Amino acid sequence: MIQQPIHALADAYRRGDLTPTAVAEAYLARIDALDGRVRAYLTIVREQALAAARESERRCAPVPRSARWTARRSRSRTCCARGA
Amino acid sequence: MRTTAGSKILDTFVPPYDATVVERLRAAGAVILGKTNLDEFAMGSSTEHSGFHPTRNPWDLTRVPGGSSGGSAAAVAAGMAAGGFGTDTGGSIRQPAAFCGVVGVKPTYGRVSRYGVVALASSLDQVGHFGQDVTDAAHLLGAIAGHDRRDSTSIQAPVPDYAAELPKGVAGLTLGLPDEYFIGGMDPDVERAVRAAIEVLKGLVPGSSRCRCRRPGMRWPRTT
Repeated sequence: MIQQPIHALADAYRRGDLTPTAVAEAYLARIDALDGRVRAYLTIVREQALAAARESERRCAPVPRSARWTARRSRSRTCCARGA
Repeated sequence: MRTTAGSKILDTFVPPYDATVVERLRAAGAVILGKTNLDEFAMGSSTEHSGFHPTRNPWDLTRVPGGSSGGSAAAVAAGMAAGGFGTDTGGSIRQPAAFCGVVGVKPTYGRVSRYGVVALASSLDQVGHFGQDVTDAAHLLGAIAGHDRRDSTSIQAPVPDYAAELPKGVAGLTLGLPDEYFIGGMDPDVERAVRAAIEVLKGLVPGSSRCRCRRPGMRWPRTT
């Protein structure tokens, strides 16, 4: 899931195929699995990262039903991801 | 978030404010996972000289990831972060990027704010980043670049849409190879790899057969 560049992740968020929370959890799980050997990190802010991911997810959520007709017309979701 | 610069002296230091780069990343929607390892106060080229522990190269754990920003390079190379940040004074992003096989960018001095960044040599330090590919590197640069009145060395120049420029390719660019970069004591394997890369670039950039140039100021960085 996470072995792809950021611009691909942003596309996946826009399509609704992935969520920021799922990706953040996957990265934290990979850190748990590998960083004991690589030792790249000095500090890991698990809770802050998950909170930021949930906030990102809130911004990226599909639009509510009441506003959906405009979203259909523009064929897009209200998503913050702009590539970076 | 704890900021140590790789030194035990700052083991418990939590800065009272975010660096401009961090502010801009958060505003762009980035999710920050943590802080990565480096040679103590960015003085080193292998990440063996962190005050905490050495970082290993994820491709071969018996080797170093380069440095000083070796933790960020290794994290991106190992898929433990989508992108990473560091500072480059004399190669501290470019060299670990090469060691770990990721894209590293040292932006032009002044392009990215140094406000909130622990200094090594203020007249050469620049914040930069590691990406999984060139497109990511362009997006990340677009997110952090731009004038900041809190850094007096920050330049007032418009920020191009770097990612949009990429499809134009390298045609029309000028390749410059400063004589001063090919100095005595260069490892033969390194020189061979660099010269092979130059041939690849010459093939990509038409009209670059005469690309030697001189940078006489290269005598001075060591004393800066």
